[in-house]
Amino acid sequence: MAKIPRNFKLMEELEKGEKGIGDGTCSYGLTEGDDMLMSNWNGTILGPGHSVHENRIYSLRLYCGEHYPDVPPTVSFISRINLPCVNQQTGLIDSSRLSCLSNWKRNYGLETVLTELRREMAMPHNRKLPQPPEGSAY
Amino acid sequence: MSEVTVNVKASNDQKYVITLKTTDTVLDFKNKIAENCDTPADRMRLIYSGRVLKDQDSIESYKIAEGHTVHMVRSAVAAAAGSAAPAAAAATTTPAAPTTPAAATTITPAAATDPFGTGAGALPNPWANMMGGGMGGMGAMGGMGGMGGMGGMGGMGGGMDPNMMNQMMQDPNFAQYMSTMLQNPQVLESMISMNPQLAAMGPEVRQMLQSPQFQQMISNPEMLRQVAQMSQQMGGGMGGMGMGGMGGMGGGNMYNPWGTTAPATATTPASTTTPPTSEAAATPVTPAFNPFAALGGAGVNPGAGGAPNPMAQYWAQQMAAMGAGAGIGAAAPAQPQEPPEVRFQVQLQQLNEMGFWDAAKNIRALLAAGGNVNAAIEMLFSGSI
Repeated sequence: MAKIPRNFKLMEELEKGEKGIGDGTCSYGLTEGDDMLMSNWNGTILGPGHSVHENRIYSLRLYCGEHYPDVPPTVSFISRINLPCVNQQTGLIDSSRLSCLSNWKRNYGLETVLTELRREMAMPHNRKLPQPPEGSAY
Repeated sequence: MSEVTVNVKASNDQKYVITLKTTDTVLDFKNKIAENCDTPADRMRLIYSGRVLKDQDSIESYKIAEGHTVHMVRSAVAAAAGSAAPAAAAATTTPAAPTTPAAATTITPAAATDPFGTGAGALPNPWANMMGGGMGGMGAMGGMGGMGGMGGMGGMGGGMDPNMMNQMMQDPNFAQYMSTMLQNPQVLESMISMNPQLAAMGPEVRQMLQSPQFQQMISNPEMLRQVAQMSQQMGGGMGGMGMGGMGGMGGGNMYNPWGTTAPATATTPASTTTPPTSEAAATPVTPAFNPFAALGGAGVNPGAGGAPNPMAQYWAQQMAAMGAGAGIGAAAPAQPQEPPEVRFQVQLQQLNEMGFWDAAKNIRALLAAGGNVNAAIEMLFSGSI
């Protein structure tokens, strides 16, 4: 199968994000609408139910470098969150501790990362972790 | 000044189509949505392209264009009040609720290890959820103090999602708690004395409750998961029966010692009057287990809900015979409208791990399969979804 070039892939993802395909629990879009390189993205994750995250909206920053999607995006939380894979000083996600980043595949996308993070929040061992007050940011 | 038509997707799956001027502010936008739904504008949060929209900003500034979709989420205040209400209602209207934890503490003085000690706590607590979603405190609490999990399951029925139950069941504290409780003759005695039916059954009840078989049954997460799945398939009425009924023991409330104190009046007559009593009392221990074994079978069978399935018929008969079926069915509230992705979280995860990436498709398949992963996979493979 032919490799989808970076920009085509990101265009596709952008359209998906704007049209709101999916269940709405995760959302993403370009930080600057006129970013021709489509490098900087915003993401939100709606906290999963039955967890401390319920009804919280977490904001994230995603950066797709020039080798995306051969290499995974850099992802960090803007909203403070207590999760094992998140650096508590910077909000940056430790790629080695999130399987979708450490085992990145070309067909993954920003949505994959966001939904995986959301799943991580809902994990039995994470969903009751004490959380910083809502609205605080790194 | 131009106009755009934007789709708004709410978290409860409602969709609204709103036409806006690009110079409108987000607040105007919210007010327009509020005209179409019951969420007040000040409790709305709008998400577009990975950003939470701020009230004072204009639509233009977010570059929302024709045909784009904005997600609407109810803010924490509204949602928290909404979800806390049923639990609180259950706690206040159910006399059983406060009594049971008391009973629990007498058995397990180490309150810290007591999984129910926090029963009235915050939402993430499985019991609290259960109280909200299930039959109120009665089913849950009755189950706990009484039949150990079983009655509780009966009460919860479809209200409990398999995840939560799984987690609860996997908690070693829970299993330990159950078995300690059932081994404690005092507890058994009090259970039995509180319920005439149990007393009528005589020593067999004690044997039954203390038998390792029974304890294994209530501590087997797989079994409970199957039951949960099946009760979902069978819908509300059956959901009420859940596990309690299946065990042939709880019958929802028939033997549930707390049943009589519960507000579920429909079931009370059933437990104090006729046919169920005689039938159940006449039923020796072994047959009481049989339906449960059969239930395990039915649980794995994706077609359990189908009429031609002998198992289903068997159950229908069984329930009719017990007489309690109707009462319990009525007492069990409709399954709460949890989004399928929450209900099927475990199954979705399994599908994901197997390489089915399309969440929407997975949900459709799981819905069609009533939560059965194998059946869902078949549908996904056959392309019928």
